[in-house]
Parts: sequence; structure tokens; C-alpha cells
Amino acid sequence: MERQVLLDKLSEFLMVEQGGLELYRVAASRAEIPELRQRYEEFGRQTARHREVLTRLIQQLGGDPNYVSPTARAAQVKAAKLVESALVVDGLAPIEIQISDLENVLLAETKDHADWQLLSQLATQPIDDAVKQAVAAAVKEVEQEEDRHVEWARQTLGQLCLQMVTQGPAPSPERWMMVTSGPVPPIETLNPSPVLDGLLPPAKEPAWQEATVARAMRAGA
Amino acid sequence: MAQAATLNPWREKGIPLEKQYRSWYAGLKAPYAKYDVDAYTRCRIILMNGLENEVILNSHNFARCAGDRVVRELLAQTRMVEHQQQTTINWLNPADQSILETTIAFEQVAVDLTAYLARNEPDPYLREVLNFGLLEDFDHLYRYSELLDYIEGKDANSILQSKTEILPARPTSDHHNMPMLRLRKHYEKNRALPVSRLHVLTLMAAEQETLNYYKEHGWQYADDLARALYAEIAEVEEEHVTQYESLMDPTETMLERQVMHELMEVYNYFHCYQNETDPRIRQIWDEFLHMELTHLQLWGEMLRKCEGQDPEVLFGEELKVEFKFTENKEYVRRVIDQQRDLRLVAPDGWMMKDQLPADWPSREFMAVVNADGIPSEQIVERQQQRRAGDDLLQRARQVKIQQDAMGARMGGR
Repeated sequence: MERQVLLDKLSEFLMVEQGGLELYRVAASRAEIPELRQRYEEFGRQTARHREVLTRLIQQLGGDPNYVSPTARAAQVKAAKLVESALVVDGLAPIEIQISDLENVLLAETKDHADWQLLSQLATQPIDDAVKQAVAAAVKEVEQEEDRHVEWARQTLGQLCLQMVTQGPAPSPERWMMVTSGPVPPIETLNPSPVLDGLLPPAKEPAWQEATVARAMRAGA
Repeated sequence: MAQAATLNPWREKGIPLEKQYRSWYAGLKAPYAKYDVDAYTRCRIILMNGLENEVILNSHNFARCAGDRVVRELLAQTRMVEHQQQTTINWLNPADQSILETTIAFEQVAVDLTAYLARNEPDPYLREVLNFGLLEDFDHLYRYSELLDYIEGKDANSILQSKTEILPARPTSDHHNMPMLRLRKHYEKNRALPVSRLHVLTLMAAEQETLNYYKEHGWQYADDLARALYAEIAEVEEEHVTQYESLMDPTETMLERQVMHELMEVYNYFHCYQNETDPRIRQIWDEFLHMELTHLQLWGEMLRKCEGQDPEVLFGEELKVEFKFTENKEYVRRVIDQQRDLRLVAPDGWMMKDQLPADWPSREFMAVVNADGIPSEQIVERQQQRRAGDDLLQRARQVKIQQDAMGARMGGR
């Protein structure tokens, strides 16, 4: 068995737990739906415990929990980008912000779940008995909660989206236009005296072009 | 009227990157003569110096968060070229051009750049943001012109060459806003026209350079009023940078921004090259344009490789260059007539001064910053006392009347 590879992966998994914990904090702090907030807080506490389990496992295998492997650094960046995306919410309706946060949780928990599945599989491989036992004990302590986290996120996200489509309320279709410039809403609603004379021909052309996706499709890209 | 020229920036042949570095002396060109140079040649030099500085700082910011060595290497390579270009350009300014004379030229850049961009801008909201900033820079030009007369006894038209007018607009004392009011709506990167994005980035870079210039040089005057006026107007420029950077879509990636910066340089070197009247300086624009074409293509490839996006899809196959430094007197007067009393309100809009609510946030801010006197008003008062009946504005108007009369005799322009 390549012990260093395992320690590198465990360092990465530890970072994934840390990233998940930070994501739960952000999501809980602005969850307006009580059930969501309650779950985020509960799962956050469990994630903190999973972090402890992994720390113990690393020590049992002779590793250093302070060691940050290259893949852990990559995992940290991905987690940070997820949390960062939670900041780019201008133009989203409150319910869409809730859904976006939950989607981030699902993405993070999907990776987290895959990590523990991998450890579960490792415990069935012909490897050193002491390693096998330590990994199996950690998996036993955590696996069910991880199953629950990812499943809850998947189901709840689906329910919220379905509910929004079937029952509403529908956010204003112009909501993003309120935070972005352009021809909508008309400038007169924002400026009592827009300058319309003395302009050159390019200023009279349409202000918006086709969206990026349409342009990419047209270009075959 | 503008005569648009078009180029394909992704295919046009540039100078290979490895051939772009220059020796100390090859990069340094003789300065222009401050009274002989065309005012708009000086404007182009100031503008391109500012754009190069913006590109350099953006490249450093990118490098500080780029985890890929290949990206950091290309940043380091292209940035060194930008550095050398910036040195070449900024060193074209002559040593006998005073800080205040250069300041007058900075405001001429701000006025005629903003006005022409606004006249070309298809997005009505962005256009109004530009118009709003235009009147403020226009008023700064008037205040600094008074200061030039007061400190050096010179007429600002020795720099402006009467291509840009010297008149009060929205008074500088009213430019001081509660900072968050400057935040405007941003363009939407998926649908905004490339030209709109280039306008915003160009103007933001120019204003950033203006802010830096005032911050770096305002202290160099011994006269208290001059120091105070620089401090006051520098703070407005800080507001302008806040205003213009808020127009950029915050979801643009660093790599996308890097490509945009290179495209902005191509766009601006191209109009400099097209409109330059001094053959010696035109040659510099030509050379730098071809350096930037290479940078753009290299960064376009990087965007394709690292983010899977075609730069042509994001920014268009062709680049149509409409801009040129030219007189915008009629347009500026129109904006003054319509918008002198316009003020910023949250969120994202404007309102006439007499309609503002009692709790308009900028009132509180102005009460603080204007509490001990307003340098931009004091310079005018001092000038009026010094030269009663002979103030700069009056003389500037006289020059204008004479010019108009001369133009009429010559059969009009």
C-alpha cells in the first residue's frame, strides 16, 4: 500500500470537511426557511465531528493532521469558490438565493460522500490490517450521516425547485435587469433628463447582443 | 463624424513576444515640446500611460492569485513589456511641463475621452453614468485652470489649445457623495456589447491614473490652497474610480479580465495610431499596437485552454474602433444644460437637486468634508479678488467669441 498517497487523500478529505463546515455556516446564517436553517446547523455540527474523526484517523495512520497535501489545497480552492459563489447573488430573488445555497451544499456533500465511499472501499482491500481496521472504524462512525447529508440535499433541492415551478411565487422576470445596465428598464425611469442629442451612430445601435451561449452555438464552439 | 476602422485582433500579425524587450536607451524617446505638441497628442500620451499602468496593476493582481505557473510566467513576460511601454510613453512628457500644466492635460483627457465615449455608447444606462462623470471632470478643469493662473500666471489654453472649453459645470463642492451612492448597475457580461465593456475599462483606467497623479503630486505645492484643491479633487477622482469600476460585471473571471485588458490596449493603440499627427509618436503607437496584438492572441489562447472559452465568442471576431480625441464642445454644453443639477441617488439612479429628499445621504457627507471651507470655491473667490473684472472665465469666453468670429470669417469649420 502507498501510505503517502493515502495520507495525501486523507488530508484532502479533511479539507473537504472543513470547506463543508464553512459552507454550512454561510448557508445557515442566511437561511430564511426554518427547516433549512435547522438542517444546516445540525449537519454542520456533524461535519465538525467528521473533521475530528478524520484528524484521529490521520494520527492513527502515523500522519500529521497539520500536513496540507497538494490535493487538499486544490480541494480548498474548490470549496472557497463554492462559498464565493454564494456572494454573487445580486439579481436573485430571496428564494433563489436559498436554492443556490442548497445547490452548493449538494455539490459539496456529493464530493464529501464520494470521499467516504472511497474509504469504505479501501477497507475491503487487501491492505495492512491495522490500516484497514482504523479506516473501517472511521467509516462506520460517519458513513450513515454522510448518506443522509447528500440524500437530504438532493431531495430538498428537488422539492424546492418543483414547488417553485408548480406553485410559485414567481420572481419578477426583470429582477436581474434591476442590477444590470442596459435598455431595460427605460433610462427615463432612472434619470429625469437623459441626453439624447449629439450622439454618434454607434450609440443608436442595439445595446445588447445575443447571449454568450447563442453566440457560441452559432460559432460552433 | 467618426470614421470607424475595423481589424481582426485575433489574426492580425503582431511582434513576437521574444522580440519585444528593449534596451534602456532604445525605449526612451525624446520628449515632446510642450507648447508645440498637438493638445490631443499629449492627451493620447496621458491616456496610454494610464492604460498601461492599469494593465500592469491588473496583471500583478492576477499573478497574486494565479495558481498555475504557466499563467504566472506569461503574466510576468507580458507585464515586463507593458512596463517598458509605460516608461516609453510617460517619458515622452517633458520635464518643463509643470504638475499643474500636466493636470490641465489630465482633465482635458477626462473631458474629451468621457464625452466621446458617451456619444458612442449604445447602452443608455452606461451613457448616463459617463455623462454624470463628464460634468464633474469638466468642472475640475475650470477650477484647476484658475489655480494655474493663480500659481503660474498661465492661461490653461496654452495646454488645451482651445479644443476644450473652460467653464463651470456642476460645482466641485457638490461632487462629494456618500460613497455608496457612487455604486451603479453593472453591465451583464453575456449580453453587453464588447464596445461597452471596452468603454468602461478604458475610462476606469484613465480615472485611476488621474486619481494616482493627483495623490502622488498634490503635496508638491507649497501653497496651501493648491494642496487643498488637489486633495479635494483627488477625492472626487476616488469616487469616479468607484463609480466606473462598479459598472464592470463582478462575475468576469481574472482570465477573462486579462483578455479584456489586452483588447482595451489594442483598441486604444489603434485609434492613437490612426489619429496621431506627429509621425515620430505615430511610430510608437504602431509598434506598441503590434506588441499588444501578440499579447492579446497569447492571452486569448490561454482563455481557450484554461477556461474552454473562445475569445472571439466573448469579444467578437472583429474590433471596430470608433474613438478619437476630438472637440466635444457642443455635446458638453448640452449635457451641462440638461444635467448640471442632476445628483446621485440610491439605488443606481439620479434626481434633480430640487427634488432630493431632506435625508439625502450626501448632505451629511458634504457637511463633514466641506465643514472648514471648500478649496474649489476658495480658488475662484481668490481669483476674483485678485483680478477683479478680469477673471479667467471672462477671458476664456472672450477667446471663444474671438474664435467664433474668426471661424465665421473663414467660412465656418
